[in-house]
Amino acid sequence: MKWAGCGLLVFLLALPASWGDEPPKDKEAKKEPTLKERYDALLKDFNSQRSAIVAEAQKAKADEQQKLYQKYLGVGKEFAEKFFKLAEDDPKGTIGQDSLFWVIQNGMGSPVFEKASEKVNTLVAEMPIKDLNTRLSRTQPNPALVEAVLKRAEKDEKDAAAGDLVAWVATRGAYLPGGQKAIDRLIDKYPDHPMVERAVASLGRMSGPDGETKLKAILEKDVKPKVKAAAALGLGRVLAEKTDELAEKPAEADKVAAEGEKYLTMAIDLSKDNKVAKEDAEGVLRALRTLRVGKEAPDIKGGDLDGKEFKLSDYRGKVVMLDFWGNW
Amino acid sequence: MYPHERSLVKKLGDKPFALVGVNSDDDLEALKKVLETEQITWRSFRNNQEGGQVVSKDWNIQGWPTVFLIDHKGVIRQKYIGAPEEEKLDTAIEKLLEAAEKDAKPAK
Repeated sequence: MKWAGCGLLVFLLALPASWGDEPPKDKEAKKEPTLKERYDALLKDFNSQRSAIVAEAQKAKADEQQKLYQKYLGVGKEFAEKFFKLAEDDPKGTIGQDSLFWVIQNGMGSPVFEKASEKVNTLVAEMPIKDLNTRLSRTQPNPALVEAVLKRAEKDEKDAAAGDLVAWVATRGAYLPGGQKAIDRLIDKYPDHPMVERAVASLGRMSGPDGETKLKAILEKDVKPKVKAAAALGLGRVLAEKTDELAEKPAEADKVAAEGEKYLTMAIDLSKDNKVAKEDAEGVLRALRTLRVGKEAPDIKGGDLDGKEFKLSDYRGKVVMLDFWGNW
Repeated sequence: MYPHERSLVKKLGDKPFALVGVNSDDDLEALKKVLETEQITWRSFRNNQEGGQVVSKDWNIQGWPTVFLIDHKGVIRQKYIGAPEEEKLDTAIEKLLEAAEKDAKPAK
């Protein structure tokens, strides 16, 4: 402490002198910028070029929008080579890593993209898992990256942090080809991971029969009640959606609805300690019982955009298209 | 979706048909300008009603837009999450209109 205090004092005493001095400033300006300064400068330049295009696009006509969008993408390609150069100048450091990850996020279509992607794959395979997780938390997934991350997670399966890698793919990249595999893997290998419920819930938002099959399979397994609850809610959602597609087949719709009600009731029972999940399930159940195709529409009474009162039932006798909309 | 909605309202003007909205915009002033420029002539409930009632919550709406087709007896007959395909929507409305007009004719 004593030495640190002395150092600060010396620094303070030295300040006024260097402030008044013009020539040393010039000398400083000629100094080579550090890697960090180069990275920050590139990023600033890139952002301002992109903002300028966005501002232009807001004023442009519809037929010019497409051109501007290409230009917008072009900036990423152009800067990719600059960032890649920076990565080559810092092959072992964090700025180099930042630059490579920047290229694979923004430089799609650039000649250096493939090279950067290969280097990133090597990094993903070799860097400490903890560091990798930190880096991924601020990275958008893409197909190649997802594949590399899953490969790493398989290699270090025993490491608890490998679950975080799988969870990153399962939640952030659920829509990518590797996403489904990650969801399955997370549920199978890391059933206690805090992200499991979210991964399971995302299955309930999948279209097609896949979600239904997978969710039923989870319910067959010996999983924790909260995971079971998420799967039951997901199934309820899938089946509720299915009834709305059976508008022409009322008998079949009733059967699917009854199955959906069963799972939603199960979800509510299993979610006694989780208010949000419970209310979610109750909302879906209520909608399935009263708002699905074939049910009488509940009345709406309220003010219009001018504050004048009216009712949905005022239109009885007419076919009504009821549109929940917003101007966005 | 506005152009198709405008054309439906125009095309089905003399049929037993009504387009009714439930609007979630916060900025009513900005919205009124849109009503004018987009020629939105049909009536909308405000989603957030006085007294705290929220229509989209009562109807468990999960995504916007969501469109319901309700027949002349008040029964929900179609539900679309996201903007419906124009052709599908038109066919479904036609079918419901046929039934409505059939029922409206006095029994012989």
